[in-house]
Amino acid sequence: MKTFVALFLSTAAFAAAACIIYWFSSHEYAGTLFLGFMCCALGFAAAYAIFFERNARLAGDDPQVDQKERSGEDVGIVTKATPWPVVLAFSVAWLFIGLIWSDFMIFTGIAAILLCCWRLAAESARVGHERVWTEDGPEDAT
Amino acid sequence: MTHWLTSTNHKSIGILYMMTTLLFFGIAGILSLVIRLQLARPDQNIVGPHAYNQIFTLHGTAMIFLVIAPFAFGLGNYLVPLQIGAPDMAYPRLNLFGVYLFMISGFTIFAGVFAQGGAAASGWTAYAPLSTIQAGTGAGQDLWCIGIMLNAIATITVAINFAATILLYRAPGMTMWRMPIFTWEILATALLILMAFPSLSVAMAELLLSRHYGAHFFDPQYGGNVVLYQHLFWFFGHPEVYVMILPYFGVISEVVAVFSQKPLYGYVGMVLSAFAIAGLSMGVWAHHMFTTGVVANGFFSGMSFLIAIPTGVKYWNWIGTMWRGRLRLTTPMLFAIGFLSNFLIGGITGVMVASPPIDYHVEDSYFLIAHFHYTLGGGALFAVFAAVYFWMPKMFGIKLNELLGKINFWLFFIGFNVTFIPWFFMGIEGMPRRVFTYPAMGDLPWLNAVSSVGAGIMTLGVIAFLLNVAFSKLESKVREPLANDPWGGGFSLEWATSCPPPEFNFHALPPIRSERPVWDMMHPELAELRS
Repeated sequence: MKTFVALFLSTAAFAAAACIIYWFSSHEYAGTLFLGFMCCALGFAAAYAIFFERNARLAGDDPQVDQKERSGEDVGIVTKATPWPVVLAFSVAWLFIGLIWSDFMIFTGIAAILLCCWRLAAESARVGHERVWTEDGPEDAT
Repeated sequence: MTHWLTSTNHKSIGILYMMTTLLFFGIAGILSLVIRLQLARPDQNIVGPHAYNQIFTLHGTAMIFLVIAPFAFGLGNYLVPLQIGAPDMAYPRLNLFGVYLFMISGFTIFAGVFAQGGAAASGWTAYAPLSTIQAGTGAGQDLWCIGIMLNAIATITVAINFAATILLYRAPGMTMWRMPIFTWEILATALLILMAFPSLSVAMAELLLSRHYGAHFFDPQYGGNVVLYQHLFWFFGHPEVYVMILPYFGVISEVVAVFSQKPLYGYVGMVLSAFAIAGLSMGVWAHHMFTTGVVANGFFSGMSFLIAIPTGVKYWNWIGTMWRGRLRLTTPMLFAIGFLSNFLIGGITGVMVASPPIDYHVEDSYFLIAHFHYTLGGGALFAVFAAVYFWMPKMFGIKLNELLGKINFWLFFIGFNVTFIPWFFMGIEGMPRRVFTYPAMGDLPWLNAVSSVGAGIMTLGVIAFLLNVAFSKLESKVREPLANDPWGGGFSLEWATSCPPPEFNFHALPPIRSERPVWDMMHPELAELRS
């Protein structure tokens, strides 16, 4: 986490410096805003890590830890195969094209996106696909 | 097949990305051959001016948005979890969504070919007001804008996934300073995407609003700003150049180290230079706008020159890695060396055009496009081939034939230089980019003819590659299965698992105590000595 924070803070500091120098060398709004947003976004990520994830203990952050010590740790829910992200991608494209050409496409696109979101949320709620670390590495718990 | 197409496994998704980019590479390659055929002789009319505009627009769009960067995303999808010892990407379903949105974006852009008035014809940059004129371009330009917007969203999803996976999903013991260089470069790329791509989405939204809803963002007559589009586009566009090259710096670092049979020289320098390049690239966007006369040329010129320093650090480290190494000139290594020589030409000419007096002279000429073809074609494409030859055994259990591989390399390398070196001279003689024909004046006719012959030689190189894939696939059926590390001397974790890897990547992970765990596993006595 320290490396993460250092990375984001140093890049945010660079963006802040570039933003100030750019403003005084050009007095141009668009670029100053871009660089300002960049500084804020990176600073926000660093601040989140500093204030809310201070006590996070990631497996990857400990240089001496072994697989065995992390045995049994949950590494998240994984759906092995699902059509809904594919349907969602088509629905988003359908909606975007509809914004130019047809109200019908907009309404059906929104409906399809909502349907996909519902199905994806239902998938996430299902139990039975956790993966855990074992002594040898990550494995399916089911 | 259905299961494979809807699988959330990062390896299936990575392969889907790479296969799709190879399809678009084929299409873009055919389009470039049509361009070279049209320009082979002066005053030709094989394709008319409007068709020519569509062809170079689609060629540029495909190579930038659908081939070079997405191939790296496919490669990253496949390799990053393997290199950091993770079972999958952090958000597998978002990953699946991203790859399909990327595919749909490509087909949406190309669907313009069937629209009334044809495909988009305002270049891959789609500058306003050229792209906002309704009469000039029809539905093809709309489909282009929508396709690019979808592409931007897909790219942002893949960047979120890379960043989250690398920051949070590393295996026990895999600290950030033990990650392979390729993974570091992918992390830098992901952060660059998250900063730069929203600007592209905004630019496309404003174009569509201008074309269909009467907005006047870029029209000074109504209080708009004519260079606002250029600011928005290049705030994305220049970092995009590094999105297209940083992952391939990672590829070259991996290949050079393995085939020099030495650990990478200057690991920390490599990491810091990647982030220095990424950071600086966010502050150079308007060096594409020197000739507008309304940007701070000094600021952008200075920032552009600075990028040469971390890039020089990378070259120093690659040469340092090869220095006194036991070089094995395999096909991936040849492509890596080809990358180093071509990208050097692209980089040095980049420093030249970062100087406003030179840029004013060569802006929008063939000199400029020779420069960026050397960086992205001579750089990224050579690294694509290096990556394919290097990791194909891991992905498919197929090791490509070395003899055909070397024929592939030499044809592509010679063809590439014969094609693009004449462009520098054409540019200096004043040949502008994006012209569908030219008069028989000065050296232009023979320089163009030579360039077209070079394109033919490059095509033969690609044919040699396709033959190699077919031949090696057949050969693999009668060969013994490959060892975990078929090249020998691999450093990172992907070489600790089978070819191809099992569903969750590893049956057993080796202990991770340095940035080269597989090497430590193979040489425990030396690892002990070092620790």
